[in-house]
Order: sequence, then structure tokens, then C-alpha cells
Amino acid sequence: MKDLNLIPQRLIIERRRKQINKLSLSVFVGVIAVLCVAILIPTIIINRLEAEKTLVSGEIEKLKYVTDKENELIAARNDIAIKDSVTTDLKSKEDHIREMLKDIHSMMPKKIVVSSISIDSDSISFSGKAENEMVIADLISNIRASGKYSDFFIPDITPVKDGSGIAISLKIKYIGQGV
Amino acid sequence: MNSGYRSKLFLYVLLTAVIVYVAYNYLLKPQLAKQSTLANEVSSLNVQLQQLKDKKLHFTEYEDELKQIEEKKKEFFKQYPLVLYEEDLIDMLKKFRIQQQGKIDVAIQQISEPKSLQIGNAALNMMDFSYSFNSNYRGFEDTFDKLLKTSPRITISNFTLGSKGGDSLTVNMSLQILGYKDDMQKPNAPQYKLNGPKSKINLFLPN
Repeated sequence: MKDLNLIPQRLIIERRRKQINKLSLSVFVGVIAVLCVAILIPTIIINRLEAEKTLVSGEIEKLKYVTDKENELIAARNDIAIKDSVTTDLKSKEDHIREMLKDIHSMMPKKIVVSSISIDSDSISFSGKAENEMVIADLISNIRASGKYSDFFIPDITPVKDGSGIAISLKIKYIGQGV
Repeated sequence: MNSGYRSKLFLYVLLTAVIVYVAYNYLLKPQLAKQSTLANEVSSLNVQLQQLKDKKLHFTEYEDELKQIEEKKKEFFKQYPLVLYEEDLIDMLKKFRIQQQGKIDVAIQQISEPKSLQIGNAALNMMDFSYSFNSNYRGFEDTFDKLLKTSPRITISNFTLGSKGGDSLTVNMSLQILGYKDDMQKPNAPQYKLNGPKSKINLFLPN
């Protein structure tokens, strides 16, 4: 069969160009439209987020007094902790002195006559007269058995001139680990 | 299609590509970055807000605890005053002497100038004084306990018991009266002068 298309070639080409031009324009407009939407959506989200930020910041500002009170409380807790440590530390020193006083009573054999006792925060010194050497040995044994004292220092053990006993001076250091 | 038309079409495509590139890099990308940053900020603010709302529920507890701490501080400052006046100290010792009347014979020998004392993180004012009396052992124990309950606070740094024969003891105590040194609350007080006239002379002056 013979092609009977009588439309001139020039017109066909012209029509195809027009179609391509239309298509190109449509693609261009479509791309621009997509871009606009792509930019518009984040802008809307940003505006919404900024509004939310302002709102939340406002609410936080309204509750600032809670933060202020909390900070005040934290500072007060730190302050009172320092003061409590002072009280505890001093109480502990006093407790040591009380304990040492109690210990010296319990450790002292009856056959020693004490003439002086001196106690400070970590040591006891005393002097007195023991009936005999065995009593001094008992005293030292009692002190050792308590486990709370170290650094025995005995500057003086001398028999009393009239023969009534033995004069003794003793100093011990409190280490505070009782049995 | 002739080459002129093809070039025109190519330019068209190129222009579209340039517009897409510019729009993405200079408009869309910064917007997305800003959106992401804002979203993080808002999320963090929301967390902060929720935490504050939770804390608000405990606000009364905070206030109660602060009141308790204030009470404790008042008690502490009664024991360790920021300011101690000479006449307060003398009054306190006089009262103590009166309490012990009939039981012991007291002599306050010497009061030192204030010194600084560091306990942990706290700075204290401290004055040494000695306290001597004659008593039996029970009287000594009683005095020991009562001295430790005074306000302002007295601590015993050391003591010596000397036997005078029988029940009688001579007691020498080295005591310390303590005050709190608070740099935030420096009192505006006159210079220390213990031997001056009996007046409101602050014994615990800041350094």
C-alpha cells in the first residue's frame, strides 16, 4: 500500500517541535513547582517549631522560680553539709576523749593508786604508784588486750623510797580500733 | 531537528538543572538544617519543661527542706556564732560557774586571742582558755558533760586530773570556744581588745 500522507514534511516537524516545547515547559514548570513545595514545607515546619519554641520557652520562664528554689536548696545542702562535718568532727574528738576516760578506768588494776591523768585528743598520760611489778604487768596487758592503744612510752618506773610500791609514768597513743 | 533547536533544548535542560542545584543547595538544604536544629532545640526545651513540671510537684518538699536547713543553721550558729562578744563569753562562763556552785571551786585562768581553725572545708574561729577546779570524780564528770552542752560551743582539747588525796581532785582543762568564720557575712565590728572595758567587743573578727 502506498503512503498517502500528503501533509508537508515542514508542518510535521513544526508540530513535533511544538509538542516538545510544550513538554519541556511542562517539565520546567513541574520542577519549579516541586521545588517550591519542597522549600515551602520546611518553612511551614520551621514557623511551627519557632512558635512552639517561643511557647515552651515562655512556660520555662514561668517555672524559673522552681529552678531558683532548687538551686537555693542545692547551695543550702552544700552549706549545711560543711557545717555538719564540723559538728561530726568535733563530736568524734569528744567521743574519743570520753572513750579514753572510760578505758583508763576499766584498764587500771585496783592495786595502782593514780596521782594524775592527762588526756588529749589522741593520747593518755598518767602517773601513779603500783603495789608491785605484777600490777604494772597487768596494766600493760590490759592496755594491749583492748587493742585501742599503741606507742607505749614509759618514762619512769622506780621503786618508791619507803618501799611501799613502784612509781610509774606511762603514755599511750589512742588508735581507736577496739576489740 | 536542526542543531539550533537541539542547542536550545539543551540550554533548557541546563537551566532547569542549575535552578534545581541552586534551589537545593542555597534554599532547601539550609532550611532543612535550620529545621533540624530547631527540632532539636524544641525537643530539648520540652524535656527541660517536663523536668521542671516534675520538679514543681516537689516544690513544697523543697521549701520544707529549706526551712529545716535554716533551722539547723540557726542551731549551728547558736553553737558556733559568727560573732562572739566578750561580755557574752564572760556571761556564759559566769552562768556556768553559778550552775556548778557548791560542787566545785572554779578558776578561769587565761583566755587567748582568737585563732583560725580549719575543719574539713570549714574555717572556724577558736579561742583557748583554761578552766581549773577542785572536785571529786563525780563532780568532774558532771562538769565535763555540762561543759560540752553549752552554747556557744566549748570543746575540751585536753585535761589533767591530779589527786589531792582521798576523793578530792584538781582538774585542769584546756578548753576552746568556737565560732564559725563565714566570709560571706563579715561583721562590721571593732578591733579585738580582750582586756578593754567590758562592752560589746567582738572576739571573733574576720581576718
